Amino acid sequence: MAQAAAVAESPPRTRPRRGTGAHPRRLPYLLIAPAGLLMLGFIAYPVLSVFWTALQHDNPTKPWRNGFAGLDNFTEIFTSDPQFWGTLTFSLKWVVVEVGLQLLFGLALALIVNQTFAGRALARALVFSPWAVSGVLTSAIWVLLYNSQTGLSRYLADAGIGEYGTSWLSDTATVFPAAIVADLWRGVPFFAILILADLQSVSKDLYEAAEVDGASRLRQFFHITLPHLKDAIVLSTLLRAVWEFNNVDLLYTLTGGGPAGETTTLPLYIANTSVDAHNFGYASALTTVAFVILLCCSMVYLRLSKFGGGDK
Amino acid sequence: MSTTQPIVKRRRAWDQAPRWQTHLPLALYLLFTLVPFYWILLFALRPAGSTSLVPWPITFEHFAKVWTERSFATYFQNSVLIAVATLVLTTVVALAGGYALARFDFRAKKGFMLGLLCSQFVPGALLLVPLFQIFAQLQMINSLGSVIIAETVFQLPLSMILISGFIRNVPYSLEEAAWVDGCDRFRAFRTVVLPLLRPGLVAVGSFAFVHAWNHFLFALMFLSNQEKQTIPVGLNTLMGADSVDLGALAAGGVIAAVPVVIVFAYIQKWLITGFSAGAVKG
Repeated sequence: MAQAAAVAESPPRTRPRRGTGAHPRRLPYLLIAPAGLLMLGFIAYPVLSVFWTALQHDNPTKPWRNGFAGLDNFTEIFTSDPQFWGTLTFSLKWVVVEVGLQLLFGLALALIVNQTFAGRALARALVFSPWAVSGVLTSAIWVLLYNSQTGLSRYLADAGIGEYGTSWLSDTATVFPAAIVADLWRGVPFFAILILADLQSVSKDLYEAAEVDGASRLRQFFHITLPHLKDAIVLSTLLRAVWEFNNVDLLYTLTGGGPAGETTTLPLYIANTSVDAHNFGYASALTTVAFVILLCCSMVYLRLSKFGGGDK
Repeated sequence: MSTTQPIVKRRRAWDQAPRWQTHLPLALYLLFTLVPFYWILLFALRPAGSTSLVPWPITFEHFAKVWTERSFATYFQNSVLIAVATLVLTTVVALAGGYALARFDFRAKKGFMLGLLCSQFVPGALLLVPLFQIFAQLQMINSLGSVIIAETVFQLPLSMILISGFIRNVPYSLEEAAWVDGCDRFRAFRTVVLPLLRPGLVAVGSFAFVHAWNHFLFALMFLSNQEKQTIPVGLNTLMGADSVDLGALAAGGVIAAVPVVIVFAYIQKWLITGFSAGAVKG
């Protein structure tokens, strides 16, 4: 009976006959409300409070100075803080090297496991697995590998390569490549997974047409595969760059920013300034600067790469 | 030229490089991936002080020690609670929001989308101080709830964007057909759309789980009580000790890896299809 009535009424296409009790016009707001409220409370409000605190002297260890600071904190950052420039430079170097190498190896890896060969499913699962490993666990693993007494260096020395007691993480000359390799280990699979996913949607007809025209495999890669992957590559490098810039887990636990501050990124410096030195005002100003740098770099990157050019 | 030639040619066509060009780099990369895993298993399973490259005689003393003496039993429980709660909360909230974004045009939509995108650039690590103050005001410091909320909030934007993409891939006409058959909007969604979203939801949910399981900073900052700490914090403590007990560290690491490796093994196929289902293209 209900069905007969439903057919008889035959509602207009755009509007459901019965909602969930809410008026359809209010329904979307009801649906985004939980997410919206959570993000307002725990992202937007903290961000605003950081901007506000950046304009204050806020340091419980020097309470006599607390109060409105105007742009004092920012002036100090740009004119008299060598640590800011040092850590910013290291952060940029870290991001560029990491993302560049991760993309390169990730692309290669995706192309390799996109081939058909026996045991492909297992090989994919194995090479992608470090993706799921945390920064802290990565550190733990590489601490074991880099250990000067029982790590890889001992066995290499046994084989006549290098010296006994080499500690790659405490030597300023080797700590950067050592940390880079550790982060590559778990970072490459991220790119490989995303690129492989996108490779699935390349039309095989294109390759067959190119094959008929006698295009070499290399030319096919540059003229079919790469253009197809472009948007995915732009998006994943951007997300990854932001992530690598902000991520502190690995370096915090692997090197602690050392030796001699050699591997301190800007976020690590900010964390030290706020959590250890309790200089909240200054740390907030640093955060604001980091935020603006990220936003500007991202916009420039999206503009330069003409992201999504074509559709829309 | 016979008609069979294209078929013969396909084997050596674009998707088939010469064998060694696949196998050699793959073998090298597998070595790079697997040696670290082997290394941690080796240290976890061989007796303290041994320098053998095979874990023999095998011992579980490190596991027993880490599990009981170093409280990894408690950490494990806390980590499971946080990760599962984050998974459920993120998926449900993102599903509701993602549906609204995919199916409705409403006035605040553009602003909301912009907020989602901008939030991608907000580093959780840099909001530690204000977040700490908020949770202190809510009296949630040292409660797992603070970490669950913080993890969920930072998972939400990307999850919602992904899920709304998945929903857009389900033709609206399917839902409309269900309404015509007498379903209300919720039932139409549950019976028609939800089953089709399964691979996507598995991808998003597993992201949330793995992320919450692995994440370190929020737990480090908001949970100072040792009873409440999580596995990554426990690992960090082991690494920070004056003389690092490598066996215990390795065993702790293996414990930390087991759940995510299982989840990963289960979902990794869906991960790729989930993404290619329009996620990256938006």
